[in-house]
Amino acid sequence: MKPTESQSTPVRRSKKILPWIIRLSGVGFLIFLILLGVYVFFLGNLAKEKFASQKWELPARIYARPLELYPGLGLDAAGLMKELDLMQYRQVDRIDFSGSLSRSGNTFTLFSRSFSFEDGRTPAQKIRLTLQNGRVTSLRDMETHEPLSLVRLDPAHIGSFYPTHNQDRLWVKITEVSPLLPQTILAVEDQHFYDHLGVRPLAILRALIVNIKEGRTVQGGSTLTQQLVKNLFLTRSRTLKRKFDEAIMALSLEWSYKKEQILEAYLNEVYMGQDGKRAIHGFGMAARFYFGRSLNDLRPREIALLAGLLKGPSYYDPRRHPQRALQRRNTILTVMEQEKLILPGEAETARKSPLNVTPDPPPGTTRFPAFMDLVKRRLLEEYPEEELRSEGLRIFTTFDPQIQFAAESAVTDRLDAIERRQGFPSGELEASVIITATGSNEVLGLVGGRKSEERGFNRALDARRSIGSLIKPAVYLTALRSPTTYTLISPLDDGPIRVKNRRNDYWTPQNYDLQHHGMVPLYRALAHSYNVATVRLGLELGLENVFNTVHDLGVKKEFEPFPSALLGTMSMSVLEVVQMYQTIASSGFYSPVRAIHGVYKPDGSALQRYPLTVNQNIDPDAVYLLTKALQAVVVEGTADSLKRILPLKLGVAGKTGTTDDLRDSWFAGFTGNHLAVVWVGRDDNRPTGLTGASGALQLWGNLFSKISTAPLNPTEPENINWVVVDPVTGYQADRSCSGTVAIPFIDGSEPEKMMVCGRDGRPDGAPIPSRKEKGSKPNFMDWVKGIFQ
Amino acid sequence: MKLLRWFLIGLCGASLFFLSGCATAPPSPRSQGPAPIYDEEGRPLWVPLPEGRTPPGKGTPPREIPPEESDRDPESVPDRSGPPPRIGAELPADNPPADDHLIAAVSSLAEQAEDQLSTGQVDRAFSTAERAIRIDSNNPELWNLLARIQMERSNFDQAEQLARKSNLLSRGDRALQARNWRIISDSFQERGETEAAKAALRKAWELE
Repeated sequence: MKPTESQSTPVRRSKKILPWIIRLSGVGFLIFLILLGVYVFFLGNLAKEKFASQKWELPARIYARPLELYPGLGLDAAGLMKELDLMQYRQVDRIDFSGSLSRSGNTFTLFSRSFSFEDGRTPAQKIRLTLQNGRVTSLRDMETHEPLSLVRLDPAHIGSFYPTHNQDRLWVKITEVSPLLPQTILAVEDQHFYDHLGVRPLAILRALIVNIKEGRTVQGGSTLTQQLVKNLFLTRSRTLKRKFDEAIMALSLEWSYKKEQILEAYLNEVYMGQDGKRAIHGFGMAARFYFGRSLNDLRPREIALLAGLLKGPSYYDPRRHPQRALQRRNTILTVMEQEKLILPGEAETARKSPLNVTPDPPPGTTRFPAFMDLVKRRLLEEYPEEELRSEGLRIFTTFDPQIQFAAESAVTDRLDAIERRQGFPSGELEASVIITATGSNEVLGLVGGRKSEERGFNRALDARRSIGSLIKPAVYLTALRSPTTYTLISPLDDGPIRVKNRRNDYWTPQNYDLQHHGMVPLYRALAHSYNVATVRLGLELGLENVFNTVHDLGVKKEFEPFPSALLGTMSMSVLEVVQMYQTIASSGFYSPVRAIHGVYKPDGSALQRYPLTVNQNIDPDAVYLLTKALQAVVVEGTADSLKRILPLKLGVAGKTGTTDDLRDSWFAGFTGNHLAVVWVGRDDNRPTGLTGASGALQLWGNLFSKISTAPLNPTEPENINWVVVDPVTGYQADRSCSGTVAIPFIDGSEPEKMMVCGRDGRPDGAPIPSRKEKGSKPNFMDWVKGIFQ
Repeated sequence: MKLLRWFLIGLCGASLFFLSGCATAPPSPRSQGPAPIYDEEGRPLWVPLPEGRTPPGKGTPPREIPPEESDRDPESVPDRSGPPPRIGAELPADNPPADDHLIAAVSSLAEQAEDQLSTGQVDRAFSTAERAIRIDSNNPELWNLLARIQMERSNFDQAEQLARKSNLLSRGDRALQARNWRIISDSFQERGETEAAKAALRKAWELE
């Protein structure tokens, strides 16, 4: 190396290095820019794609049947109030918002809510109804003062199936919300929403300066789009990088989507409050959560409150911090006034008004877990659970809240009383109930245990117990299906019987009273639930034939062919028994028990309907005779104590059931439009000391005394003839005979012998063949006998 | 004739070995019992008792029971002035007087369903008719309406069943019954059951 060179090296080097550095950093910067560009490009694309494929997980909402009001409807004031309470209607002095009611004695004035049913939207409506003697006597439109023939209220929301992340959200479309809502939100959160491109650098700068001056965050320069991006895609950290990402993504969204789409996403995404584990998202759900109403039914003051919550849903929580929330709401009202969204007078009135938030949020968990359990099981037969939890399905059920409340209180009231009477410690007995509408075979109420609000063992669906004498109607119906052989007065032998058992020994069925009753007319053997006569009849009919009848009644299970099955040793759930009796209650027409009317997608289109179907499985004439005998159970048989609870003119048809050692107490019965099956017993299957009549029947009677139900007047098929007979001999009887009874017969099965009585009402000489018999053919037995005569 | 008698006596005698007596003659064709019960291995669990009685019902003279043995209800005191009590519940008339209010609520829904049916909205029509049934499930016109809607949906089996249900409830209303039988006939026709369709149509004619 040369010295001269070495001397001049530092200067020259630095002269040479600098441009290199500049060049290098230029290149570096360029690379950085390229990388940044790539990063931005990918990030932007990512935001775009994510937004497009954003899967809004919406919980399924389950509704009760809508309450249909019409003059003539059986309805009592207490039941109506309970249902309106469940529907989140609020009692006020003057109805001035939808979802409110006022009451004066038996006159109710309602401001109903709008609701989208399958057949269109029912508008909010002001109506007045008057009740008298448990009926709606007048129904009027309050605006036009015209009488109304029918009003369908919005149904009570009885539960939801939530996504796993527990976000509760009710999707709203931007085109369907009142314009005041987005206008207010924009006035408060982002006045330049329609002008900017997703970010407002100046606003960010201004916010930065203010924040630095104050030393804390007081102002956010974020646009609505940035807020949305943050909620949707990013963490809550406050780093510069996140801020940068947020801006890029916001720009990208603005580039790719319309303002309306972004606004709609914001309306539905934004966090609005918390209820335990459940997070409330979006304005649709917030309206329900805070006001118990749909978004479109909100007034400007309520919109102001919700818009005010955006700043801090927990800090301004109107239930926990009403004062803060009120101030915040009034600030927003002032903004609305300044922006000319509302009139000054209106703003002034609104600022003076109370918050009007419902005291308790509608529960996120259902109050009716047992019924919801049935709904869910039915749905899971056809849909994967994931779909139920995230597709925002609207599920319309058959659930009748008033009936449910009556059933729940019948269970708790009567079980307490029975336990006191029996000397059981409290809580020892359990019960389950299902009540249905007989015309359409819909489950109206379901109680799975005495703690009805707790999720737990669902006895109505999962407890399978011996049904005891509840099987007997199937035995007698099998007989009555052969009218040439059996009628309601066919004499049955209740004398001792021994039935050979599997182990080569004998089974000797006994009657409950341990007595034998000789020859008894068929209907009376059922009315008094005589075991021995039933076993003999069942064996005569053949077990297979009896089981066929049980299957025709809608029970889909096979039974072991033991004679003891004739006394109901088989186990069934309450739901299965309901199905069996339902077919009897609807004159032999089988319809599968339904809990759901239909499942609808969020856009209102039907995903699945569960239409009413019927199938005439059993001839209505035989079922008619059986029904008359089941009415005799209540009039003169094992359920006659029901007369002390319910008027006889209700014409209840039913059957008691008691199992060995008094372990299970059952009652299944129906009126003109309702059927209920009640089981009472113990979870450990130990004896209860209760018969069907002293246990389940008491609950059943109590339930029916609380609901409005129609008397049973079973439809008489045209081939039924009523004949006056002497129940002891089974002969047709003269009007002059005493102790006669009118009995229905299927055409051609009327008794052939006629009894003529003297003045004392006693039979007068030998029976004479009735007119019918003269033309009738002798049967095989007569013919065989004739041979030997 | 004598020959036949002897033949039968012989036959019965032979069957004694199997049935242990003539009294348990084979059940008449219409009767569905008594049948012996066997376990899985074919061993009899129960056979009709040798001294078993003849099946009750037609042709069986009911056993005379002396009055003191009878378990007559104290309620059924002879009252020969009025009609004897009917078994089951005593209800006033066959059908309670129709409730005008109910009719108003139901008829508005029925009209709506008819409108929907005529404009081809069959699913909605069915839902509306179901709403009406929930209010008044004993109204045969509503069941007939459901049957017609199911016909329109080509749901022929249900159309038939619903028409049968309507028929059961429309006691005395021959015109409605005839309409129902026509639906039944059409539904059979659609399912290719021509004979059944003809028979149902004849029923409609008889009623018209």
